[in-house]
Amino acid sequence: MLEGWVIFIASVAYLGLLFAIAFWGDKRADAGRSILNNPYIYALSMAVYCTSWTFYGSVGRAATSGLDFLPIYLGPTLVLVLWPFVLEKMVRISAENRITSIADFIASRYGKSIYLGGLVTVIVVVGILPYIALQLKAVSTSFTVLIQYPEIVMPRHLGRVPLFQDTAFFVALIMALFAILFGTRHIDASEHHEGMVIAVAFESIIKLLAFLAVGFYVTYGVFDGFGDLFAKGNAVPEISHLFHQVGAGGYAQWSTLLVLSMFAIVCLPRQFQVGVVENVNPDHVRKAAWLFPLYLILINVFVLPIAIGGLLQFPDGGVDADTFVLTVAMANQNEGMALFAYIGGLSAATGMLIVATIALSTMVCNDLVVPVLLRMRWFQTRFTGDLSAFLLFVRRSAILFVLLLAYTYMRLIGESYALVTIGLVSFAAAAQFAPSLLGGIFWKGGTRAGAMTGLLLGTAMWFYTLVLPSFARSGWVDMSLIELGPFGIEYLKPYALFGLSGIDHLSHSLFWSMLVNIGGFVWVSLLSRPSDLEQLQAGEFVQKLDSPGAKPVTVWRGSAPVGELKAVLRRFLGDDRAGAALADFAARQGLNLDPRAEAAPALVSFAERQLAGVIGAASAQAVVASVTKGEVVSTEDLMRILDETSQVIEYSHELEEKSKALEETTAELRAANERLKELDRMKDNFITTVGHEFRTPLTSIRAAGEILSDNPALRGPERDRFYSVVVAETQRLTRLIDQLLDLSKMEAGNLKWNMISLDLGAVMEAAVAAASPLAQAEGVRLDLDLPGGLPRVRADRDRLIQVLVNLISNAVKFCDPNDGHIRVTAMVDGDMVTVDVIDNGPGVAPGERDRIFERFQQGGSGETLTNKPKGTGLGLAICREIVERFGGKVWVEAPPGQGSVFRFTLPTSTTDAAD
Amino acid sequence: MVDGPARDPERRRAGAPERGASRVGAFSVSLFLIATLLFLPPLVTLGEGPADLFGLPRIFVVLFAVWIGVVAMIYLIAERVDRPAPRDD
Repeated sequence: MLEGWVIFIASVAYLGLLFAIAFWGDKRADAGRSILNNPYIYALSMAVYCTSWTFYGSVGRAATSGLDFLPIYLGPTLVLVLWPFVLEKMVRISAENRITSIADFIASRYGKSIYLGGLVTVIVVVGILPYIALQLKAVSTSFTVLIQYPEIVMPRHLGRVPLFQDTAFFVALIMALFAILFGTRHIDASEHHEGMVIAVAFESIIKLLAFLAVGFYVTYGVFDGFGDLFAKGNAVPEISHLFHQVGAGGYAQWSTLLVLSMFAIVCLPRQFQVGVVENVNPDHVRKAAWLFPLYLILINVFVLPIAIGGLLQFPDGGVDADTFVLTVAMANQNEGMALFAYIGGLSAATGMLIVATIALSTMVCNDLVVPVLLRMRWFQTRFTGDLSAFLLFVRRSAILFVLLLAYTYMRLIGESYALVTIGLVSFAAAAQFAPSLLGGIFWKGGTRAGAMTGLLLGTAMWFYTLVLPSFARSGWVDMSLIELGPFGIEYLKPYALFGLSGIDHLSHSLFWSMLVNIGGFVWVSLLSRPSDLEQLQAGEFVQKLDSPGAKPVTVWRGSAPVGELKAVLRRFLGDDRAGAALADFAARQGLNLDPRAEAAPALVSFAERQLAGVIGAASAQAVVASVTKGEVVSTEDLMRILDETSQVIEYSHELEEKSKALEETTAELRAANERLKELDRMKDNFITTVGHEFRTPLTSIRAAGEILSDNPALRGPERDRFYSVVVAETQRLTRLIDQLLDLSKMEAGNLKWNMISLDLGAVMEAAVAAASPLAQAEGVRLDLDLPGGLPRVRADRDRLIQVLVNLISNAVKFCDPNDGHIRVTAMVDGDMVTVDVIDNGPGVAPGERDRIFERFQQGGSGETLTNKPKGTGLGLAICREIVERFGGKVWVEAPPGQGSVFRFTLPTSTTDAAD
Repeated sequence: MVDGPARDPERRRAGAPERGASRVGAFSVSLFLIATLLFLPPLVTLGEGPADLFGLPRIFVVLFAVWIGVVAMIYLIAERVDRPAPRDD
């Protein structure tokens, strides 16, 4: 049954199905019903990691070094443990910057450097192209092996297949067609290739099913389950050592493979393509983080059983272990299974071919061809029109070029050692991107010069310690290079650089290349100064973790007329797309699209991002810079300038504040000084006044005393008059001294205040009763006019009576001498109560109304000798002191007509209960 | 995607949404460190030797068991530890 045409038709049918699925996926996407927004498809597309190198090669590896194949799949699992930090972050950065490839990503991070993008692309072509060749080789080999059925013959015994009978050639052409059809549908490479991704996801299912089917068949069909298989293997010493240890190839190699594969899962161009560029929703990463490793577990479970089965099946070693997946079924005459295995291998190879080719062609186009063309003067002058069709042509040519180059490579190198080891050599090449890539998203200090240095040194070391010796072993370079070192210098032997030996070649190479790569990256980064654009990009990339939702920063790129900007976009995007994109953006942002107007910074940024999706960030920057005038000013620069300005402003503010404060303090000091002087003057006055006040009664007493002593003959009423003068003046003196003491005690705060809640009415009655004898003696009418419902007040009872008596006696003194009348009343005013003592005296002159409450200042009397003062001059001062102490105020008012009103207020008591 | 945290009582119970991201981060980093240690010598060599486990080579069983365990932990961290509310960007 397994004749050539059957296999051919099966292959064509499978590939046709692939085209149909991709076509269907694109159709759905065009209809707006894309099925790409699905984490399962995303996770399956990531399984493009498992190429034919996994499908056939893992078994081959397991057959020679046991479990050593496993670290290649454990590494990705470890990286996906860190999905929030690595994959999701890269996805978010790429979505915002419209990243098209890993070269674009690295170039973009380090200041949109054209040279860096070019360098990465060259490394990818050198390092990955052979890997593509390996896939073609696998297709060719599997077809050749299968077609010999029922014989099992290894291709190396068959001689060269002519070009037009070589399956690999046709597969290369068909894959080129596929990649052209489904990989270059949009001019914008950062947009998603729905059909391609869905086809790749489908291929992942097929290769998993095929491998599981073969595994089941070998384990349970050919043998009697795992136990039987391992038991039989155990009996053969050459086989049993394979599955009892992990370090059959040395522990160093085990660890190296783990590290290499960790780098590979993010650094391999095809993984970057499916994992980052084709991601439609960063939330999918969360699910893929466990789905993809689960896939890896499933596809690896049967690797060891198939290898053991193959070794048991072909004990003489005449069959390559790399073909066990096919040949075990063939040897047992299970044609269907063999065909399914072949299709599985085909799907593994084609999946990788498609994605890697599209990724590579995008890089070659955007990071090699376009930058070179844009620099050429003749190109600039000849191609002035729409470039979008030309760009598509370049990309399609690149696809064809990459696949044909890979095929040529495979034909040339053939069965050599170089091709067999190329899988890991490719991994080691991709690993060189890791320091710049991961350092770029975690370390803000990484610079373009550092990345350049690291990449160049690392790649050079990779080439010298891994590629060059493999050439020697293939016979293209003299073996003495390995054995004796170049020019016989032993320290430079590629497999034992500087005498480092005792570990496998891969670990040796990874050690040296990573040492110079990381060392160069870090040291040169530390020593070099990044440009403004680099700093800006570094901030954008590194801070993505802190503020995942932050919008891209709008950077001042210099200005350009809208018309010119539009023209540039048209050239690269085509008329319709450019017009639609600009109109959409302008409508959303409310921008003016008048061709002669200056473009807003946001519009310039938008145009650059659109271009970046087509020709890569580095070229886009160059193109936009060619139409804009003025320096690129980064936001960070602006922020710095702003920062400095605002600091200066703040300083001057502070200075102003301080001088203001100083002025205020000076004024306060001056006022305090004035007040002190005033107090000093008052003290002097007070002493003078007190002396004067004391002197008056003393003079009277002395005079009376002298008269009495000089005239002992004085008798009767004459003598009594003088005695009474002495008594009266002494009483006045005593009163004066009492009040003085009172006042000074009050002012010093030494007086004990017995503040309680008082019934104001009762207090007023008591005060009027106390003062009425005085009034009667002077013939003055004293009325108490108490309204009902007077509130309680909080005061010292004795002091309050003192205030009232003082005021009444004051009023008595100044009353109309003929018909004196005093009225005492009170009324409530809000939460205060007002007490009035109203007399019908001459009133107080307006200028004296404040003064009379000062000590020794008496109203009405003046300083004349004829008008003897009627009081001590301290009564009102004491009243004021007390009332203010109660929380009220005292003042004098002049009612209409004659007389004066001495009024004071008291706060009402909040507690009703008397205590 | 209207998969708000309010609709999922299990996530809501786990804590405030803004704490989710940092919790996922802390869990992820610690799992990474543990898994890396387990997959590297010398720990990985502990499973070596001719002994069998469930009738299968011990190292084979141990490696795949640890691997499955790690993936299960990724699943738990990614899907069960409180996740931040989906953004509209």
